[in-house]
Amino acid sequence: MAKVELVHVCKSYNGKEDVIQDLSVSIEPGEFFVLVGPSGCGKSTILRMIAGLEAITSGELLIGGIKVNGMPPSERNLSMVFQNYALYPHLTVEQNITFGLHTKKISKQEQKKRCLEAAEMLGLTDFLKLKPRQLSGGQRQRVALARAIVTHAPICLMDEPLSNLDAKLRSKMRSEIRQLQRRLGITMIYVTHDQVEAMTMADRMMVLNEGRPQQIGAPLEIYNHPSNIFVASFIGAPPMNLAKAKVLESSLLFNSERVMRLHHHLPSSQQQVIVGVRPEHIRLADTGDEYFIAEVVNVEVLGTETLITFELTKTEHWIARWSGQWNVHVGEQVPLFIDETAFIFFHEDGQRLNHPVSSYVASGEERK
Amino acid sequence: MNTPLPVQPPASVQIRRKRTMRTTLEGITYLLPSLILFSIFLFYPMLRTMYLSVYLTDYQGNPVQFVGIENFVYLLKDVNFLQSVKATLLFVCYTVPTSVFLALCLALMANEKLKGIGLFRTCFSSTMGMSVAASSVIWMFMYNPSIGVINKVLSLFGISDVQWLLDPKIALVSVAISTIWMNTGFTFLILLGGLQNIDPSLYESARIAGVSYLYQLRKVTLPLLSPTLFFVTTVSLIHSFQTFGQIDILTKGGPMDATNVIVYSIYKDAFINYNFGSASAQAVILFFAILVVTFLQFKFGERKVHYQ
Repeated sequence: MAKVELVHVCKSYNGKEDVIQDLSVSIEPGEFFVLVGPSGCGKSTILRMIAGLEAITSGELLIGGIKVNGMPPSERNLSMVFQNYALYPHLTVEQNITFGLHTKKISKQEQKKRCLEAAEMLGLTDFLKLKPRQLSGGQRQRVALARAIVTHAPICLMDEPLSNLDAKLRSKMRSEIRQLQRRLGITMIYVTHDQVEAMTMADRMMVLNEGRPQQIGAPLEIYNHPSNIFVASFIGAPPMNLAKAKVLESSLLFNSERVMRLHHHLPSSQQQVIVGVRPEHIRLADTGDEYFIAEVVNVEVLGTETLITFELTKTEHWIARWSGQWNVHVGEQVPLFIDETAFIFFHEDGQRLNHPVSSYVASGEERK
Repeated sequence: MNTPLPVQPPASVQIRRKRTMRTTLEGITYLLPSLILFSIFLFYPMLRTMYLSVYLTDYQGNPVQFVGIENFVYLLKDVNFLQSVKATLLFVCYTVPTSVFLALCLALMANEKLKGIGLFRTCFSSTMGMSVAASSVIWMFMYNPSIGVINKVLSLFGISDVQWLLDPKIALVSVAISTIWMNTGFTFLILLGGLQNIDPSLYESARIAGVSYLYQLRKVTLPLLSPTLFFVTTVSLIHSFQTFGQIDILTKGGPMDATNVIVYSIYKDAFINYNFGSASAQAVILFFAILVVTFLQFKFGERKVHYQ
């Protein structure tokens, strides 16, 4: 097991613009760490820098306390699973799994043993003599995993390993990879653009946008306490409802159209704020609640839950998520209620207000 | 009245037949231009050659007398023809492996991601843009014993007066060298294309595994390049059997028939000696020789090819 630390790491391809800016994070031994962000945010670049496939422009990368900036990939003692699996089409599954093991001075017997072990763990025993093209997508994915396992490297890097699989298989492989990581106790650094993967698999995750880290923390912490509006809208499906509002004494005024009264929890000292509410916190008003009426513009019944899109103002639509199946019709006026504690306030520049959780400054500007 | 009704195929079958007819006709129409061109310039001359190969001909190339396989029998006994066969086979052995190997080395080098590598790629493939005639003339000057640059350079090392194109022992090698130079551009370009087609993540995976360059070359690059290698080898082989231009310009089949490869011998027999029957017979032999070699190559070489 080994700790991976990045200290003020920057990456630039052309020497002018930084693709990755001042990234510092420490990944604990045995941790399942997920890098998540939209495509083009630099998460794969970070992974490739850790692997040694890309050079680090400035800053330090430490693996197990040793600076490895200039070390070739093979000496970093890690394994990597590629998005397209990178299986050698002309080699059999067995040859693929044991590829390169000879460089680690492992005897033929030991190679065979490890290969069988890994194959058994991933249910590949029957396919060892086949070529990759004879396998299904899920099986190829498993071969790639097996290849990462046999090296017995303490660190495993995964670059969007599930994005080529269909939805059903993906959720299955998700839990398989997670179980495997727990069983072997390896440090896993996992890149994905899928926030569901990040939420379900990570011990801790880092949300990235445009090469800058937005927030690092446990999935629930990030879900419940997003540090800025990017994280709020990126994590969660459907995303957090956001809208600009004016603070007038103890009320929120949305687009001069809708007023919501709040008794406590109002951000002090701000005139303009961005208000965020998770869809599950908007519920049908009970008698005695201080409700507001909104017109329904769309209803999606998903079986276990119902998503109701309603008009907050003429131009802004919010989504409410009610568990169970609801018979609501488009055009209906429904009374809605939001608990005061569910409101999250952001500064106009996107940063979270009144929240002690340490976080990165996303836009590089100082918080006012 | 019990006359049986004529059996009509059901309407749907008729319609389908009509439709098949139409699509077939349509397909043939699209093929027609190339069919006509091929027929005029390829299929007809080929059949005509086969026809002539079993006849004695006059000076205009008209068949005079049917002689069956006599032309072939005569050829197989003819010392000159056997010398041509030997020269051709030697020439193929000199040029094909060397040019493929050389192009492979150049392609591997040019495939590295370095600054200004585009310049080298252009240089290495530039011979493709030169006609055989032009490059032959250049080589002829370079080989010239008195003013040629090659002998000038060699004289610096104390080697003097190598008769590149006049010495029967060296002439074939000299022509082979110039041919290799001419072939390299094309072969290089195709091989480079093949190399660039290999998924870079396979190399990254190999880098993480930490295998040596040679191991990677042997276990990853060459197997994945094998379809391209197979293609260039086959094409160069066929090409090499058909070499004519550089022979005609550099040596005219001499000295002492050392470079009189089959195609040149065909040319001489047909258009200098007006012996069309014998020339046709040689052409037929060459055609089958290439056919057999290519067939064998597909039969045995393709086993080692990994198509993805």
